Amino acid sequence: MPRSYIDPPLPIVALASAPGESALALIRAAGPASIDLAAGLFSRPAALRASSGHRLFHGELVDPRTGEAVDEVVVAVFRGPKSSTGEDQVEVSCHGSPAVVRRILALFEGAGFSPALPGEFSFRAFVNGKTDLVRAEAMNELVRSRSDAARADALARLEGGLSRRLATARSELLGLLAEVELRLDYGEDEAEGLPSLDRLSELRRGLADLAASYAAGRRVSDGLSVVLAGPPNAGKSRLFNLFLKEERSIVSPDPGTTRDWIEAEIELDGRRLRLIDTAGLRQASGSIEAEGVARSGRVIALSDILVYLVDASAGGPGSTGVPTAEDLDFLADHPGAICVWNKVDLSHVASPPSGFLPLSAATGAGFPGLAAALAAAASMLIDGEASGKADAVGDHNAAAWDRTGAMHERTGAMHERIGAMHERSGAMHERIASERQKLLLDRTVAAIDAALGDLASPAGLDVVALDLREAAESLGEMTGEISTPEILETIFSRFCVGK
Amino acid sequence: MDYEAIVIGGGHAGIEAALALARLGRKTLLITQNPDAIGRMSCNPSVGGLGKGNLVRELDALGGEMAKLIDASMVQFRILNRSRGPAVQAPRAQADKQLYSGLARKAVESQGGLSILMDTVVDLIASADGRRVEGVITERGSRIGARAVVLCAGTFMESRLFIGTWSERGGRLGEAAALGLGSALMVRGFPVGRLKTGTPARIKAASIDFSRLEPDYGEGMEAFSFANDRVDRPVMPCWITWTNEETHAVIRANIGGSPLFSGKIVGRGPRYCPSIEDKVFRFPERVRHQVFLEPEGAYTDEVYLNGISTSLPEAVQEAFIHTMIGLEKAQVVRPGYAVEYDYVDPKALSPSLESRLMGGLFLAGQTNGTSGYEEAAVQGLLAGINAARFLGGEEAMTMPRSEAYIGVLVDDLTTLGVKEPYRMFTSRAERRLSLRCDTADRRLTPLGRAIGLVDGERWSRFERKLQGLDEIQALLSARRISHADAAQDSFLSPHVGESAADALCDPNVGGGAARLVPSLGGRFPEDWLETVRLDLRYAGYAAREARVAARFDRAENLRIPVDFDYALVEGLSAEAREKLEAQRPRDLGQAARIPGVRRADAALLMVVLLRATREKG
Repeated sequence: MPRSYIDPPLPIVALASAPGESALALIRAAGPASIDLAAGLFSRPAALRASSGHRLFHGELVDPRTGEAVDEVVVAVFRGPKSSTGEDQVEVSCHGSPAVVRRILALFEGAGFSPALPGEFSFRAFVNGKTDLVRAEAMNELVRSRSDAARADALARLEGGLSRRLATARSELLGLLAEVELRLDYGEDEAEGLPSLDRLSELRRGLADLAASYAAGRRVSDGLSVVLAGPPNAGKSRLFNLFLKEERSIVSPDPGTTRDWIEAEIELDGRRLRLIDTAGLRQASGSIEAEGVARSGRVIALSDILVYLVDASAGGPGSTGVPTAEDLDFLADHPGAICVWNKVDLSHVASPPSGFLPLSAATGAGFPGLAAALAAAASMLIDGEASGKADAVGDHNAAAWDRTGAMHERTGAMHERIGAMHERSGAMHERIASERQKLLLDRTVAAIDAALGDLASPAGLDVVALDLREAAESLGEMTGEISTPEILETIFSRFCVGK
Repeated sequence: MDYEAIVIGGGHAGIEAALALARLGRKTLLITQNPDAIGRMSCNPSVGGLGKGNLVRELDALGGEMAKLIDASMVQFRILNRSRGPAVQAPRAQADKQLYSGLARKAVESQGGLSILMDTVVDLIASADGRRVEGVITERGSRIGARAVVLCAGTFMESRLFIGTWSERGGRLGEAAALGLGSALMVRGFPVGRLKTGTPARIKAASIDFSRLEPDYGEGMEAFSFANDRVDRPVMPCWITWTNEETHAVIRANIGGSPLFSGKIVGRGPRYCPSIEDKVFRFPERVRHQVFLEPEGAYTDEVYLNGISTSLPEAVQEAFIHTMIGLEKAQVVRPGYAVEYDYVDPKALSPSLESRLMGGLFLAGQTNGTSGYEEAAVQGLLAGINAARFLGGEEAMTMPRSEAYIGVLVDDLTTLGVKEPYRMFTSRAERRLSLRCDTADRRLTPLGRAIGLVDGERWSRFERKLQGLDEIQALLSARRISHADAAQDSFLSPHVGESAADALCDPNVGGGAARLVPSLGGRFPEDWLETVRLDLRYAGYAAREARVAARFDRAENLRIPVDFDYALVEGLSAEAREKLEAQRPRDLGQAARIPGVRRADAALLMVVLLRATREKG
């Protein structure tokens, strides 16, 4: 059953500031026990719990499962009824990267908060008498227009392959539920045997794969992250600046003052990319350096595309083009990385080793080749259509690429990785793009698992029906509501029943 | 006024309505076309079944009659869905039809404060403004006054029978239709429509070759009524045969003779109970259909052919019946037929079953578009109770969907209306796992007591049972599962250290409460132990189910004023506004379930309702 405004008030959470890149973001949570629940995620839980409200707290949000600090934040605590919703309320000011916001929202949901419905904070404010009648009138409009907009938005998202796939899955689930209900609604006399539920495992697999496609979907909506990594002085910052200079469609160069890495959004070949420079992290001195390296490692681990720069002049005059042992270790751990042999403008550098793209971040030589390789990698990650692109790139930049074969080897490895992922998702290009959809799919899969478990135990078909109903309703939340008449409709149209 | 209340019709709804009114102290007149037909079973000779058995138990807990009647007239008993989960099991009993209707008639005749009149009602007497009922007008021109009228006309209003090309006015084969009333209601502005149903042929038992058929004796009899400890009556067997390709060929060759297919019948029939000609044409891939041969009772040699209702020409009926094993020489005593009749759209009723067009007029049973004895009976009881409460100026009795199948039925009828004759299905109930047959007494006896239909004896019996259930629960909670238990039954291994009550939640733990606590065996009735076991076993599931259905419960609470002006709610979709204005839902839950009312509409409506509440407060 989809949650609605009519439900008893649950703790809810949502991003309150505008989505997308920004220096800071505001995440709002409200509802019963919301302060207590949020305290469980805060580095100073006792302070939050003891607060009488209208106070700010500085500290860190911590993943309670791993103990890992997620972000440094300022938390505002409000005690109902003295809050904008009239309920206990917590507002978290955090860093404004979409990744951080997503992570924090996931933490809150893990702690028991539900994603807020459109306009739900305003709705609660009204229900709790925090807005006056004039504003309430306006809010009537708001509730309506927002949910209509939300619906239109959802429909737009669901148009095409994903909506068809979900609709198919849902109708199959309803069909199975109808098979079960048929047995429950009619006795053994009239509806013999047990329903055939072989399809259920298959259905589960398809939905689980779809849930797994969340990562790919997120890449489309938020942009792929491209991380520039490499030893100090390899030229990462220069390359970062070169990107900003060369790609005219710069969306939002980030000031970089609120985080430990520098990030900019660029558009390459019609795709949004989040370019992240880990420069400077290793240059930090003292005890902070270790922390910086650790963060750099996290950023690299979360990257979609890794560009690894090597200083071609590091070996000194006359050196052969061989990466250092350190570089090789790194590349062994990150086999998909695009390797760049930088500073080829200097006269004494060796020719690039196999698999490295020649580049001069200073002069821009070789940049089209790198841009083409990036575009090809992005295209593979999102569409899985790698080889054609890479070939075209090869032709286009033949001069700059004297190691296309090796490059192909690398992209080949990446292609395999992506290919395997796409195979898992049933060679489908549909994917889900929001945390909410992922949550609903996960819930659907869990309910199907319960059904399979109950079918295998002596639990009884009445309980299996409950499992399937939960599954269908979770799925229904993505595609529209489920109703009993609909199940009966399916029964009547499919089966011959009745004495 | 001549009477305080008048009940029109002596079928399963009329009986309950009349008895409830009289038992609640209202001077009541039951008008029937034929007192010999009181409690007659028009179609199948059985009571109960899935969903329906739950209704009968609920009716009994509230103080209705049907459970007692079937307990005293059953000839075979069975629990359905034994293999499919306890929450959806239900009792069904074959009835001796004549015995059943005889007992029903006796109950009505022996009831103090209740008179019976043989006549046919052709119109209502309304107040000058037409807003209140004041009595009835009969075929013989009598004007009988009453402040409350309960209409339970069954399939008799403006009804017509069909067999092949033959068609005649009639309510049941051989019984006159009630002409005039349906048209009079239509003239008065009631939304009247047509529905259809059918019944199979009855054949002579002596003409059946039983040597080629399997008998079915059912299982040990159990009581429907919570007032009875046990039922012990002589058993009559049923028999099973099948249609075959030849049967279907005969039907296909003669389909032109069916009034259903020739378009003579306009009313819609029930899809869940299709005629055999429907089954053959809609499911051509099925090579056979099951047919149950059910005795109509000890008083007669007639046998009911369950599963092949038909309105084909008589000669065709005989021909296809003869194609079936055991029925080669069957003699048809009564042919199958279809009946088409007027019903009144139940969306025009409030949840008390009172008409929204005419105060004091209550409608119940097949007239509201339902099908089945049990569905009719519970409506009759509810309408009778509410007519009595109307007379006493008391608030109507209604039941939430979450507490009774009766609540589901009435809410479905009055909110959604019917497109075909409505039958109860367990899947219609969002809280199915909480509406088990065996909990009907606990759910509704207190309500029946408060209404005044549960007498002191029944009440103290109920209290004794509650106490017993508590004791069983306590004993099961006190008993710990030991390693010795686990050694004897490996399924108990995961539960060592837990209480027996906890262990019984596990579906893998077989056997009943008495296996874990042997001392329970002799002390309490078996069905009490089973009830406690099922309570334990389903507690977790019921909670999950409740969460899924929670939205409804909360919505139930938000009432919509009767005179609510939907035009004031800006932003409602045009369709939703139209539907809401036409149906006038009682609360937000009902409003949200009306097809065409979107979630956004319901949310908007809620905002406005809350605002109105706050303005008042």
